Amino acid sequence: MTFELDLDSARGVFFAEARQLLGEVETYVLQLEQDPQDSETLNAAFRAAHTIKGSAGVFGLSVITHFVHNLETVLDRVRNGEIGFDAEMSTLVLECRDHISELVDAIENGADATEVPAELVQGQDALTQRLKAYLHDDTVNHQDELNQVAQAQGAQNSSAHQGPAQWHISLRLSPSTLCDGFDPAPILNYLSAYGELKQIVPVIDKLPSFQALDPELCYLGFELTYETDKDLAFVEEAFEFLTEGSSLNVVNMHTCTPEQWDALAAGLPEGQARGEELLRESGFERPFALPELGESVPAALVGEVLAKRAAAQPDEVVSVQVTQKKAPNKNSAAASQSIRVPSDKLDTLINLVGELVIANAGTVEQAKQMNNTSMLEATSAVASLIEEIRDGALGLRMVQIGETFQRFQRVVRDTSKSLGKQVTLEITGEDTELDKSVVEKIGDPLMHLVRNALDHGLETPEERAAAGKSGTGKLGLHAYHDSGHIVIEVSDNGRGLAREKIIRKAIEKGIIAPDQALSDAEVNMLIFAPGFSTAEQVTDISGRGVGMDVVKKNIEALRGTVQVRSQVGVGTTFEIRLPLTLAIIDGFMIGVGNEIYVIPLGYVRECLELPTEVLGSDDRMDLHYDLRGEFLPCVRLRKVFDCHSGKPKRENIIVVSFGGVKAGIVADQLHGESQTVIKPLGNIFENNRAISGATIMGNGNVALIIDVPKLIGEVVNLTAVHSEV
Amino acid sequence: MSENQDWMNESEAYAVTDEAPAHSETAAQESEWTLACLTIAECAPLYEKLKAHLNDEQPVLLDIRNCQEIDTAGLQFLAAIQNDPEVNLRVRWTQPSEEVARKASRLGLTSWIEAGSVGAMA
Repeated sequence: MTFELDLDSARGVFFAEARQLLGEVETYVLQLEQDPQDSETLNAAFRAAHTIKGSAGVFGLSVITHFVHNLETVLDRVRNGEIGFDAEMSTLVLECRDHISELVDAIENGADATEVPAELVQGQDALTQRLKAYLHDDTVNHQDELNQVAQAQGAQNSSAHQGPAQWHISLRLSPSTLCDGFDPAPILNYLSAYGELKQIVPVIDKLPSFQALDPELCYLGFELTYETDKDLAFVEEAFEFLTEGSSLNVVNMHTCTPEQWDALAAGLPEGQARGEELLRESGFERPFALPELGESVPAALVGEVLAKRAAAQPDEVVSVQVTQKKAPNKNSAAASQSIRVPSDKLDTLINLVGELVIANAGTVEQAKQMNNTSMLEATSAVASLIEEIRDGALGLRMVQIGETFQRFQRVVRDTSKSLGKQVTLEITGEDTELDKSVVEKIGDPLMHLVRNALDHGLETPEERAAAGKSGTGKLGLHAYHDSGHIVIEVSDNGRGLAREKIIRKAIEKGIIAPDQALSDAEVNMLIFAPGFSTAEQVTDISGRGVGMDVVKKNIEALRGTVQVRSQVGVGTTFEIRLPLTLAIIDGFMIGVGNEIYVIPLGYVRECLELPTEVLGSDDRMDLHYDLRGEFLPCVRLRKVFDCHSGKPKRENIIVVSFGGVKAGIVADQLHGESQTVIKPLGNIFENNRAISGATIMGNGNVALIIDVPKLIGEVVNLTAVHSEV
Repeated sequence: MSENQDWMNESEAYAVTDEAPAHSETAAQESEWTLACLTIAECAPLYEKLKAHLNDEQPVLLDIRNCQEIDTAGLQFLAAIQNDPEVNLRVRWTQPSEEVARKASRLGLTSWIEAGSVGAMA
C-alpha cells in the first residue's frame, strides 16, 4: 500500500505512457493491415505491448499484466512467423487494445488493480478465449501466477539457452529517486515474479553521518544477482522508471569475460577496489582469465570496451553504463530528451508572460512620454527579449496535430466497415503545430466532420461505380499554416452537397424563406444551422442533425471559423481556420474617435492614407476603394462602433485579408504594432459582430480586439447584396 | 508526500511515551516512540525530532513492532542510524514488525535492521 501512495505521481506517468503506447499499437495494427509482412511494424507493436506489460508489472497492476501477456504472446508468435496476421487478427488486436485502454481508465479511476472490473469481465473473458485460439497449448494455462507464465516462456526458449541466465545487476539510484516518488522495492518484487533474486547486496557507501542526512534523499545502490529465463531487455525494462541520474549495469554472468568483469568493477562509482569487493560480495566472482583476452582494461574505457564486446557478441555484454534509463525502443532517444510538465504549470507561465508583456508595454509608454532616448532604447531591448520569451513560452504549449489525426485511422476503418464502404484516409501536415488546448478541443468537431463525410459524403462502392468513380473513396485530413492561422481541412471525394436538397430542407425547417436568394457558399453554410439534417435515414454514425451546428459553435469558441467548399459529384471540403494560440497575439493598434482598437497583425496586409477625395461628406458610410485597380470593399469603424466624436481630418485604410478575401477597415489613427494579451469578454459582448476580445494596454486602458473574419464576412455579404441589387 | 501527510496524522505516526519499555533492560532514561508507519512522509519530521532529542543526550527506543508501513526511505533512515556510531548507541529499535522485516529482506537490509534492534543486542 505504501507503494501505491508513494508512487501516485509515477503511476500518473504510467497511465499517460500506457495511453500513448496503446495509441501506437493502434497505429501499428492499422499499418499492418496494409502490409502484414512489415516485420519492423510487427516488432514495434510487440515492443509496445511488452512495455505496457512490464510497466504495469512494476506498478503492481496485475490485471493489466495478465491480460497483456496473452496479447504479447500472440504478437510474439506473429513476429516469429508462427501465425499470420490477417483481418481477424487485426480486429482482435484492436479490440484487445480497446479493452486494455478501458482497464487503464478503470484503474486510474480507482478500480482494484488486481481484479478485472465487473463490467469488463465478460469482454475480457471473450477476448482471452479468442487470444488463446492463437496460443500454443503449453502456454494456454494462464490462470496461475506470473511465475508459471515465465516458466512456460522459459520452456519455449530453452532451445536457445542452456538453462536460466544469471544476470548481475549493478544499480545506483539518483539522490532524487525517493522524493520523486520512485521506490526500488516494487521493482525487485517484479523481478522476483519472473525469476529469483539470489543475492541482494545494498550499497550504502554514500550514506552520510546522521547529522548530515537528508532523509528524503536516496543514498542507496544495489548489487544484485538475478536468475531468470528472461532476456536482457526484460531486465533493463524493469528499471525503466528510474529517475535521471541513476545508473544501471546489467551483465550476463555466464558469458562475462575477465575484462568485462574488471571493467564493470572499475566503472562502479565506488572505485575499482571497492567495486571488486562489492561484486564478490554479491556472488559475482571474477571469471577465469583466458590467455587471448588477458589485456588490461583502463578504467576510463569501460563503456567503450563493453560496447565493443557487445558489437562482437551481442549476448555477451548486455549493458554499458546507462545514465538515464529509458525503454530501448526506437523513440527512446527522443523520449530521453523530453520532460513531462503538468499543463497547469505551463498555463501559469503563459499567464505570467502575458502580465510581463502588459507591464513592459507600460514601461514603453512611460519612456515615450518622458521622451528619453536611452530609456526608449533600453525598453526596446527588453521588449525584444520579452517577445522571444513569449514565443518560447507559447512554443512550450504547441503540440503536433499528427496524434489527433492518427486517431482517425481507426475511426475511418471501423466506420467504413460498418457502412459497407471502402475508404482510404490521406493525412498531410501531421507535424503542423498548434496550441495544446486547441488540439484538445478540436478533436470532437473533427470527429463529427469525419463521421459525417463517411456517412453522408462518401458513396458505397456500387454508387461510386455507377458514377464512374473508383470503388474506394478518399477521405483527407490536411493541416497547414496560413496567415498566422492553422488550417485544417476535412475533404472527401464523395457525392458533394446537393444544393437543391439543402434549400428544400432549409425551407421545410423554416431556416430560410422560400423566396430567399442564396449564393452557393451560403447554401453550403446552411448545413450548420441548428436542427438541419438532409440524411434520408438517421443512423448511429451521424445524421441526427444535432451535430453540425455544435461543430460550428465549438470551432467558433476557439476563435476559429469553418467554411465549406463543395462540388456535386466531385466532393466536399470543410476548411477550419484556427488561431495559433489562444493567449497572446501580435496586434496592430488603431484609433477611432477617442478609443483604441487592436487588429490581429496576422490579418493586416498594408495601411494606406485615405485620400480626402474619397472621404465623402458622410464619415459613417461604408465605401469601396480602388486599390491599384483592385476592388476593395471597406468598412468604417466609426459606423460599426457608432462613434459620434468629431470627424477626423484624414482617415486611414487598413487592408486586411482572411481566407483569400481582402477588405479595408477604415480608422482615424494608426498607432503601430504591439503585443496583445487576449482577455476574454463577458457574455454581454457575445452577439457583438466586430469584437473578439479585449486587451489591457500599457497605460492600463482597455482596447477591444477587432474580429476581422466576422467583419470581412459582413463586408463581403454587403458587397454581394449590393452587386445583386 | 503531501497526500501522505494528509492521511497520516503525525501523532498517529509516532507517539512519545517517555516510559521505560518493559522489554528494555538498560533504558531507564530511554524515551519510547511508537512508529505506526515509516514512509518518506514521516522520515523528515521524525529526523528533526530525533536530532533535537539527541541534543539532549537522551536515548530513544523506536517501537516498530506494529509498524504497518515502511518504504525504502524508512529503511534507509534506520540504516543511517545504525551506520552512524555516534547515534546507534543512543537510538535503537524493537524487534521489527513482519512488514518491516519483509521489506528489509527485499532490499537486503535485514542485517542492518537486526543490528539496531534491542532483541538482537540482548
